[in-house]
Amino acid sequence: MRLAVREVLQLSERCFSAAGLPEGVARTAAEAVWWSELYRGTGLTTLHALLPSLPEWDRGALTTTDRNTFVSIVDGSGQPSLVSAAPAVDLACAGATRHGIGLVHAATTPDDGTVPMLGHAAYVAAERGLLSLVLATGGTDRPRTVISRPDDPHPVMAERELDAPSKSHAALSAVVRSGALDRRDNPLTQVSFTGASETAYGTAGERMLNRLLDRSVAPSDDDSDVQSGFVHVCIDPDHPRHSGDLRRVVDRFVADREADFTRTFTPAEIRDRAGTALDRGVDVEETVWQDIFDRSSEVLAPEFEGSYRGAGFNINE
Amino acid sequence: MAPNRGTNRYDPNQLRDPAELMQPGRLASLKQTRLSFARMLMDKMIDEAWDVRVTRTNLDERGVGRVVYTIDTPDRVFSFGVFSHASGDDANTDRIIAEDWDMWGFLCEGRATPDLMDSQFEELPHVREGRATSDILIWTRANRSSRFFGHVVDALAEGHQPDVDFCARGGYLMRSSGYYGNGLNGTKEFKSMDGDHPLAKPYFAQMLTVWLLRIFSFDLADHVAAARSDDAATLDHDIKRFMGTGNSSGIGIVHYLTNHPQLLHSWLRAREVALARVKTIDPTPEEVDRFRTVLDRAERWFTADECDTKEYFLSKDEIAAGLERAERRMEHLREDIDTDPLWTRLCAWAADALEDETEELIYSLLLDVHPEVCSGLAESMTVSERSDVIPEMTLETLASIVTADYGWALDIDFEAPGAERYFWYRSIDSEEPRLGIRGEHDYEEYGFPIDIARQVQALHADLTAWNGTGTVAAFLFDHPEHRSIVERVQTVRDLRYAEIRANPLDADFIPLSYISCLKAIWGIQKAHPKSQGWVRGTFYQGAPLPDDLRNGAESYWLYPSKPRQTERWREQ
Repeated sequence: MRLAVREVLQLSERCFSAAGLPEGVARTAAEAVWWSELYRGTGLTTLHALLPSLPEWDRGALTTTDRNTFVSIVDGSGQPSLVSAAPAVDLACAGATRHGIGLVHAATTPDDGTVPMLGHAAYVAAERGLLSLVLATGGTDRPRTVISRPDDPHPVMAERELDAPSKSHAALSAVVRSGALDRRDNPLTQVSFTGASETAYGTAGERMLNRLLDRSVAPSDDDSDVQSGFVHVCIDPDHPRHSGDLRRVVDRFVADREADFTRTFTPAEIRDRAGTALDRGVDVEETVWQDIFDRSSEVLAPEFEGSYRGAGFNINE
Repeated sequence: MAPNRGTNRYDPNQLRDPAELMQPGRLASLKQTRLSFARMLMDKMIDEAWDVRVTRTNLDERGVGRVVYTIDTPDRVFSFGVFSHASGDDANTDRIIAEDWDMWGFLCEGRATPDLMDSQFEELPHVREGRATSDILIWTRANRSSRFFGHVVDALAEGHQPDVDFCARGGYLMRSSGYYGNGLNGTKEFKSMDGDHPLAKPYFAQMLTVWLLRIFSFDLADHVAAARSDDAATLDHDIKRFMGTGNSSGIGIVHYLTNHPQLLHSWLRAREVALARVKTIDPTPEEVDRFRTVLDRAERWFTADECDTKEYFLSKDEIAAGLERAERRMEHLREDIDTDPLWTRLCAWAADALEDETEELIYSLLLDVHPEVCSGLAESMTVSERSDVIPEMTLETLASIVTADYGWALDIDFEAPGAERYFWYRSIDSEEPRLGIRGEHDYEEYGFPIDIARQVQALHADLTAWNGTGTVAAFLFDHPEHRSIVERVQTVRDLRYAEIRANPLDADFIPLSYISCLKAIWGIQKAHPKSQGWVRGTFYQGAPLPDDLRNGAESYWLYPSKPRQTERWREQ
């Protein structure tokens, strides 16, 4: 059977609302479901798989253990990454817009089943005009890296699945563990500086970003210590602290290393997919829809005798 | 401002203050205008001479069966598939939880093939779980009017025309109460309509369905009467023109307008810009005459309207009296030596001297006389509803927006008795919206947030208590419960007509104000409340019929008079 895009969003939001998530949080999670459906074709099936665990989701369980001008450490270790993703992207975007770079390290539950949806966080950042990199490890899926760059009508996105946490994720996790967040050099510089000569790019910012990207698609060594969670890096390419053309760095990286990515998403391809989905709807197995529909219906009050008198007390009499 | 005829010009300062316009009482007074969707659609149908015909019909003597209409536009073909029943009066409640209806129908792109008719016959009765196809634009359901439909059929079967005076009390033979589209039940999404799509304007698909129901109700009456008697008359063309489609709307509209602030702003702003433009016009004598003609037409229409407006609306007689005062006032205004344009002075007088409803009607009539002031505004009424949090915004900025734009919300005293009497929720019965009394009734846990003012107050309190400066992102990390209202405040901050300044939780809240407002935006002509939360009314009285469209209908059809032969028919 087929659902309209609007129905995907509405059913998803109601499922999250039925689980007790606040209105705006539920809506953002529903948008992640839709992103997964549009980009990966898995949104509804992922939501279906999550239904049994949704009542345990608790946005209020997130805490920040450290926060400075552009780095935030979020402890959501009992929660799936989808619970942390929205506040993380907000913090990372705010940091990037104000300081040029925003970075959030988030711990998540080891049995996280929402890691493939983290691409939505990268998408949101790109929609806000920022370069974005999400490095994820743990959960029931493979480690992965998602890169996004603003474009029209949709961001350019690329995803790499890995057999081990990426080198960038491992290095940034090590910086976070060391607590060296408030040094003069930001964590990105710490993990990206090699001292080696490099001629591909002419500015420090471009070189740093290129190295970060390069290590984000390379698996770390076996002895790396990366806990379940993700790092979200956002960069405002127009911020005065940056020199060079950072967009070009991302473009070249995605183009030159296309073979390294598990999947890439071009604006034109997503535009066509979105158009098709709007025109024809989204395919879903009826049993999947039925379970989601039933769960979504939990936001609706049961039938009662007043149903037959009017829409409310004295309102229709 | 100097008078001018550059109708795209207006003084932005002349746009009405939202503190005035966005009051529920004022919104309840709005009337249909040239920018109402039913009228814009009809303009298009007339301009493009849409061809509407019955292409398949299979009805028994009671009118039970199927009918398919084909709608040919210059660019596309649509079909209106109808499943006609004859439910008993007991089941005829107009409420969306009703299980039996006199008709179900759908509007689709292309042809309504027999296979599609068969599949939709199975699906349409299932309000929540039924599935449309992506070619289907609208699902609808309607009931025959127990008073008027039977009267008309009886008269026709006896070989004469019905009593128009009696029919005029409602003005319709069938009354719809639901239009499901834009993705609901798998229908086609509005966003998927390309720019050339004939129905790619808000509510055009719904309004076309409303009009098609009108045509079906006439055809059905003729059919049932003919089945009863070989000597049956057919409903006179002039009576058909005089009659419209009934509509019944309830408190679901309160949810809708609350949840679509960007749409509400764009629709109201277009109307206000047109009004600001028309006020700058110093009319020619011919234009003054035209205004008097429509004024007189409207006055007669309201004088003849016998609908009970209860205590919620101004009575039709009072409106007619106000219009008559305006007619007399015109003489004085024309003789006054004043530098302001005549329409500026008329509007100023109307604002001072007339009741709100009559004042709004004067505005509507002025737009009727000067359609050019609506130029370009239709396009502004289709807007994106995209919104997002602005996480880098400082809390000082957010707080200043709240203080500046939501003073009306901060001023509401939620400690006052009755200020939080109601909670709003939806029932699993067809998702019908309901009101419950807080503290006295079950299901408060199913309440959903319609309380913009209360949310703003809670946000303001937490912003005030927030320790230190920072960003919205940091604030929302600690206060995820405010994410929705923060996003809303940030999104609509430059949209002056986005927020209705009301507290839907209050014991004195009257849902009717919201319902009446949206019905005016849709383009309803006649509205009469059944209660404070339920409004019936009539669309398209006077609008062209299919034959008229084919033969080149006139563009102005509002406020029709009863047919000339009304008296003679009554005597029959």
